Amino acid sequence: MRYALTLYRWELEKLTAQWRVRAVFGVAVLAPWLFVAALRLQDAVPADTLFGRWVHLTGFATPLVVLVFTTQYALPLLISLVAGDIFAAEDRYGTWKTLLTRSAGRGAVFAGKALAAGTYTVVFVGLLACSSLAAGVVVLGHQPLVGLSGTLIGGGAATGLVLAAWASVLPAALGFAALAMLCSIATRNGPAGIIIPTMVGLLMQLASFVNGVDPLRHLLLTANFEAWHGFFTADRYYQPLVTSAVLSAMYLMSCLGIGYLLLHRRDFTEG
Amino acid sequence: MVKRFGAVRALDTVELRVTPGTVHGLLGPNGAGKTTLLRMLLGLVRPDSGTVRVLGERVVPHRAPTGVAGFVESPRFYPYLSAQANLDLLAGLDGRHASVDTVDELLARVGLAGRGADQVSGFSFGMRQRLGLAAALLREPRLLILDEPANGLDPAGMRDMRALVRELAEDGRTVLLSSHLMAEVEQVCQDVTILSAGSVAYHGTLDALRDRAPAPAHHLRTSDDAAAGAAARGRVGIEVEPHRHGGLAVRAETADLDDYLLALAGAGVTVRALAQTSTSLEQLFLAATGEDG
Amino acid sequence: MRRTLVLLLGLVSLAAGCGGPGITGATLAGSLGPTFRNMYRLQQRLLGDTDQSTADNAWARCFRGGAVKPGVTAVPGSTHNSGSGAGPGWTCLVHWPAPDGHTQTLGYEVSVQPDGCYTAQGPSGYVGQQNIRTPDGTTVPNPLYEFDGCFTT
Repeated sequence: MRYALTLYRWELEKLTAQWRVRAVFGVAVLAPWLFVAALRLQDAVPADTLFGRWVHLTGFATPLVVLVFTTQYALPLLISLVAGDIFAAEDRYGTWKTLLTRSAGRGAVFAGKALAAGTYTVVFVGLLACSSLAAGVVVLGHQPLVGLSGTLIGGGAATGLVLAAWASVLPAALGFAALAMLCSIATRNGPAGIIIPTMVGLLMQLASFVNGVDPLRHLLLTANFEAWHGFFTADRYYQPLVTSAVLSAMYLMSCLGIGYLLLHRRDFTEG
Repeated sequence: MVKRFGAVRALDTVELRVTPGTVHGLLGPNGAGKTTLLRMLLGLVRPDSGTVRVLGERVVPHRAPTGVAGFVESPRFYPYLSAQANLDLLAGLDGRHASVDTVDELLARVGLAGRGADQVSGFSFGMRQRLGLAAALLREPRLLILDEPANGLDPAGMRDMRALVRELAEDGRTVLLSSHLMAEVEQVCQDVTILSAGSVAYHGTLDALRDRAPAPAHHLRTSDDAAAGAAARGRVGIEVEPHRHGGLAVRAETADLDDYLLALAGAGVTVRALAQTSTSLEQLFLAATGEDG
Repeated sequence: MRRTLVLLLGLVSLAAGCGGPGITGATLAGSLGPTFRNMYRLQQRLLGDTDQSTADNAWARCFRGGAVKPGVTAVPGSTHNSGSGAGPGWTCLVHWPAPDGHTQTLGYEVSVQPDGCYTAQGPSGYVGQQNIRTPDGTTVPNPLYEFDGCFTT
């Protein structure tokens, strides 16, 4: 346990020392401001995105539009950029033997890295949420938000609901982080650890648009990305969130379990 | 214990008896199983059957044994971190804290004084070897495992490294030094194990090995090889045969060789070139591992 | 292994609430009716009208297929809620209090996502263009031209 925490601290240090991580965090902070600046400069609205119609009416629509965009296209990729490389990086640098010839066991190494990848995921989602909320409210105003039943949601409630909506995608975000870590361990290759979960995410997103696969739809990790819609209706409903959070937890635990076994059994004969 | 890679038996029941406080050489041609053995001792590789015991304790598969530190093949570090940060990290993984003073002292000892704040990405191969030794010493091991530690070092660096290894053994540490260079082993080791095709070909002191060694080999060119060959016939302690690159291959101890050369001069044969091609231990090493000299 | 998988699938299906009402004409109408009413109120408010009582009795009836001409009430199969499943091709009829005081029936074309969120598009000839102008001169989206809603499935 003590070693896992030491490892965790060092993994965070290693992550923040890499330009890639700094760049992703920079994008998370800056991109929403560029988005609202673009909205200010023109009349067109992303009308086919939920809440996209209302972007000029209230700044609270901005973080929700960003949430829809991010979860549909970018989130698995942005998570895998770190989580899909966190184990394979040791193969690239040849540092497994350096790491594993000390007193900390493989379990501690695994736990430290998994915790660091999870922390990165939560921090990234949190940064993007806060930055897009701030950008929307500061640049476009804090007028009430038009909910999904047509009712108006006042500023205080809207802030809470927007943050809850962002928080509600964390289970699947962590599920994708675990999938990326599994790919990272199994392929021992950073690019593969990044590309495979990204493709899986896009395929799942595609499958969720297809009609007639309803039972299958509930088994997709991406179902969690839509669970927040129920927060914005007059009669709020949380059942999709509960279902998808349970499913995400199952993905998370199986990916981490298999990943740990693979790492535990690996013979380090090279590097 | 046995380790297989596919159908290949990489190692088969190897026993090393290493006297505490000495430097023990591990020799063998590429593919003899040196690296696999070292990786097993460090807990990186699990035997297919049997157990590995080191310092009196069974090595739990895939766990670094306590009291053992070192590196196999070239040591590797995080290039984007400083030498100091790399060592801090590794100390943390041993449950220790490496103060700046400790690290500075260690770096000075391995010849990296004042380089602690530099990123490892700017380090040369040889500097990484030195840092690898520092990282191993940080663990304060009783058994230090060094795989080709002089690799990538310039002649002065090699001399320093060998002196340091001897010094470490004098401090009471046991060093297992793997090398493919007999000359290196001759300079620093008291005992030696020669591995060949996954099993022990020789295990014992260097002195005992020398006693068993054939005479050093030389390459001799003369004005008249046929006459020189004839002059050797009947002499004790000398073997002469045609060398594959022309001239003569001569195996003899120094005293016998001197006598032979005087005899050649007496017979009117002049010596045009004489070069030692391998020392006696290299001869033995090659013989023991079945490689052609 | 196989047994575990079946068990897991069963658990998820159970958690997914396969016994839920699903997407039907009735569930869609139950959400779209009140949402339309709220959107109407929003439109009136944006246009500066404070009297908001007129649309309180708005109702909706939803069925699948049968493209409806705006303003036409009697369409075969439109007398009650019917149909089920996600996808485009839904039609919902809503009561709309026209500016002249008469209540008219409007047909909205509705596309429903598998997760129970839908987009309803109204007949622009009746509900106005995509954007409307508020009394203070700013242009805002017309809530009745097109709106989104969600209901639990």
